[in-house]
Amino acid sequence: MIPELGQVFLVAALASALLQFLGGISSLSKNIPNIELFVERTTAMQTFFLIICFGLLTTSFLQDDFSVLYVASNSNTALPIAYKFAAVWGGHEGSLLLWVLILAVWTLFLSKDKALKSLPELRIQSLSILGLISLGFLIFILYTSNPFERLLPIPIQGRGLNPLLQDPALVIHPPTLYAGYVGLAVPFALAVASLLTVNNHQWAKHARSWTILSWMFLTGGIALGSWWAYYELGWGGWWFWDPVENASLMPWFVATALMHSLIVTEKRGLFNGFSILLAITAFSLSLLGTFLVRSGVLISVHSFASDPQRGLFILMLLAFFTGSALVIYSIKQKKNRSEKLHPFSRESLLLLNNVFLCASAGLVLIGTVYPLILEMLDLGKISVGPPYFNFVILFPFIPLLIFIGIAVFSNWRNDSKNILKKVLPILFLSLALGLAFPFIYGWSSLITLVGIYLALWTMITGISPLIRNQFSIKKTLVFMPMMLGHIGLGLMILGITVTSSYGITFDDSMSIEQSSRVGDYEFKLTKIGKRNGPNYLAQFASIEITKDGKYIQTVYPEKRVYDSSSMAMTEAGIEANLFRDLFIAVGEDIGGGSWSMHLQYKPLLRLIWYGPIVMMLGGLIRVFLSKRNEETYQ
Amino acid sequence: MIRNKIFSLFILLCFSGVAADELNTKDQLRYQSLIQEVRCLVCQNQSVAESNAELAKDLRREIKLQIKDGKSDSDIKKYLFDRYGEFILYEPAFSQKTFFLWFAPIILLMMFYGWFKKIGN
Repeated sequence: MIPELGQVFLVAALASALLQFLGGISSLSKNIPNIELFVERTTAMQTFFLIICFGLLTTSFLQDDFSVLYVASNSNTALPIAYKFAAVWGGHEGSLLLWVLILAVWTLFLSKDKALKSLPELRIQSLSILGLISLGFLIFILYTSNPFERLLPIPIQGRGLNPLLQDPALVIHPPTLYAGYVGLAVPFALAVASLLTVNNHQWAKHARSWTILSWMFLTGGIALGSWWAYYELGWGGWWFWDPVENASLMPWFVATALMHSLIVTEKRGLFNGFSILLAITAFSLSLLGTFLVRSGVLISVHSFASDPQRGLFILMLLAFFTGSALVIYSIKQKKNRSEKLHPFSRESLLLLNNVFLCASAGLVLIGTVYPLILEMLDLGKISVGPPYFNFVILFPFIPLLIFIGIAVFSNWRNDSKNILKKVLPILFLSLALGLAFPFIYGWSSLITLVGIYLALWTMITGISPLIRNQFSIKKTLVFMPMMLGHIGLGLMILGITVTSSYGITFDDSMSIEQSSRVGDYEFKLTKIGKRNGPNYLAQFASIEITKDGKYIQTVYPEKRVYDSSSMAMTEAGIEANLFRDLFIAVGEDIGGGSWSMHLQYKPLLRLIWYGPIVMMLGGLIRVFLSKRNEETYQ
Repeated sequence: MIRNKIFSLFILLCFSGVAADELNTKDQLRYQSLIQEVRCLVCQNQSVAESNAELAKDLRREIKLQIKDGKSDSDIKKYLFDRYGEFILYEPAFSQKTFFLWFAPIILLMMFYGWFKKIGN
């Protein structure tokens, strides 16, 4: 009964989305009384129906209703209850339902945005466009990926959840990432709605907060995924340039550019066309990401749930939304208000860095799809992996980081004549501080030193408004989002540089009471044994870590074999503080009481995740605290 | 120090096969970075450093042996390339068909700089 109800509510949501779209679009050509209220109500209805749908699917999971195909494929009775919740979005159908649910929630929030009520046309059309996007995905769900489909005969036991996904971070990683992806639909809708209606730069003011919010979720989702991969995938890597990771990185680059471009569009009325294109691109890349993940067109560790036919449908949606947005843009977009810009004005520098961010996204895109294109052209299979990306990303990123610091000191409109004078002391300060690193960690290479300098430069220039205002928090509150954003980025770059250059990885065979040395740290295997988990059998080791004979910590890495899968899962043993991570994973039994062990020393690794947290904090302050402040300041 | 020596001697005696496998520190570094650049062909998208598959184990052993034999990184990559095809290397070789891939940073930066100039005026 419950799955059928779910089905009914899914159709009801589809009907509401259709009304939401039709109502809005029909008011474009003629004036319909009360149309605003109609669109508002249908938006609320759609969200309400989707929440019920999602609740019903969750209920089926909690009841272990294996007559539902999706439940039987992604859960079983032994699955701990928290993971039954997470299993709702552990597969293709459920994650798409989550996708539209999140879209509906964003749309609902947009319809409650009080400031937008002053522009009723823009408001109605953006809600209508969001309704159309939702409609597309709801048809997709009902047509190819219905989570409520029944299964006959009813199996006694379900297949269980992919063991990789049985982890607390999985409970929040996909929803966070999706919130970011899908949230980019809001600036997209506002941009296209603006083209269709008022056709000026007023949308930028409203799109800014929404862009920042989705950017925060995207940042958090990517960082969470990286952290999860680090401790769960078992070999201590934190970024693999896997196609699916790239799929989330591309919209992140463009969303970051959009966020900054909107500042110029809002404050100066410039680059309106560029901002619109960025909004369209950011959402298109989100759709592309959804396509890459869901179609299985790429060989990737993430393609658990994939089907080429479904991929084709998403590709069609992508082509439709991007294509029609670009057509509308080319017809409607008026020529930019032209103004001669000074090369070192804030406008110029922001534009320049946004262009670098677009180039970064472009490079990641090329590297990700290049093997696909060659394969389609029958030119053979190649791999494009970390060595390529780590190299090419430096081309846009080194100039980007150089100009970030300069941009902080620039002013609107004019060439700040003294910009060099202001920048020089900080440049020398970061050069001096940067020299400390080779002293602490030893010499590595020139590119390492450049990375450290750029990280420090970004952080110190980021913090400079605080110094300029005699450390008055009140006076600097308006700069706080920028400061935290740049400091966070600097921290992340520092973490990446130091960890990659000075980290040590060591594979060793160990037996009981034997030690292995990595850097200054001594790892001693004290115990090895087996234990039973709720739905797995684990081989665990106990490893004592000492430094210069001083006891630090004992960690317990495990290797688990889950009942539902024959593949072994590694649970790493990690001892971490702000300055370094020590990582141990259990390898193979090589006989004679010896085990191969994977040992790592990773200095400043944590900064890679603390950086994004600081960046997100900046966004949070902008959206909820300093917005009003900024308005009075301007 | 002496204890360590006795210990390693003990290890040598017990598992001479294992001990003979060990590399010196410099070669360990080379080994670690090499195995990260080699793709495990039977996995979804993992390097042989990350994979637990049998093929990955074999390839790791092979790479270790070749390092011990004094082969250079490019020798080893060439060996893998000839034997398994270019799919195995995460760093695509520069050739006619990867021309655009490797020149992408320059082409893109030039293209986007042109765009920047156009919008900026």
